Amino acid sequence: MSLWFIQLIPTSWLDTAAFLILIVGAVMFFAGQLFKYTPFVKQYNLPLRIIGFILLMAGAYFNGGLGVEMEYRERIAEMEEKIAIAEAKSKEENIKIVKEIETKTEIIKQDTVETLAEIERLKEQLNANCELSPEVITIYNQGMTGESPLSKDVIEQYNESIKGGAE
Amino acid sequence: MDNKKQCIGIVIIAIIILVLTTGCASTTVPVTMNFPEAPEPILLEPEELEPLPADAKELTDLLENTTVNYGKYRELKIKYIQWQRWFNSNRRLHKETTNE
Repeated sequence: MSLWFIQLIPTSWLDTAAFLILIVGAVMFFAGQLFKYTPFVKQYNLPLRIIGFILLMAGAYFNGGLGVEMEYRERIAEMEEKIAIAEAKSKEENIKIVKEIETKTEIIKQDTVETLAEIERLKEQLNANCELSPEVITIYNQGMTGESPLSKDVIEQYNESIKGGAE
Repeated sequence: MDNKKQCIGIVIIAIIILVLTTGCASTTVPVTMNFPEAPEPILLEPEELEPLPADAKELTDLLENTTVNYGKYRELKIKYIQWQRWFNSNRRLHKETTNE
């Protein structure tokens, strides 16, 4: 059984309640002892002492337990603070990452445009002694897409092995 | 006398129950760290490389295609490095926070 509901009660209320229970318990217990021979009161002596004793014990325990509860709340606050700091740092890092990606991507795009312009400028000179055959295009595209006859076979075998495993 | 003993017994049982129920309070800190959000650019699908058109005849067609594809590879490389950076920084932050 966990006393989760204690976490909902403000600290000052808990402090006061624990202290009051202790005081009331002590007063009742010692009053029972003091007035055990007083007429009209002595008939309430036993219940007074029993209830006083229970309250005294409970008050003592709650006062001790309150220290633990306070420590527990401190740990929660500390943890929440750490998490808030970590989340803020993570967001800062994300902003830096996005900025770096955007900056470097822009540079790459400029590089590409400049290289394409250079190719265009030297077009006649580069194309003077070379013509691409259909085989060049096929092999080039196979290398790029990974669709060579060999890799097709390997992929098919792999897909079949997965199907076999699933069945 | 028997009545008194009974009362004392009840009191002792009540105290034991009280101590036990209060003593079972959990001391685990109920605060958890959310999974960090990754920035959007590194979550995007990678671009496909462009194949060389079948009607390409000149060497410059090949060079142009290669240049564009190299550019795509370099963009992807940056995102890959930033993925590693994101992972390492968040792992470090998680360790610092949870002391694991």
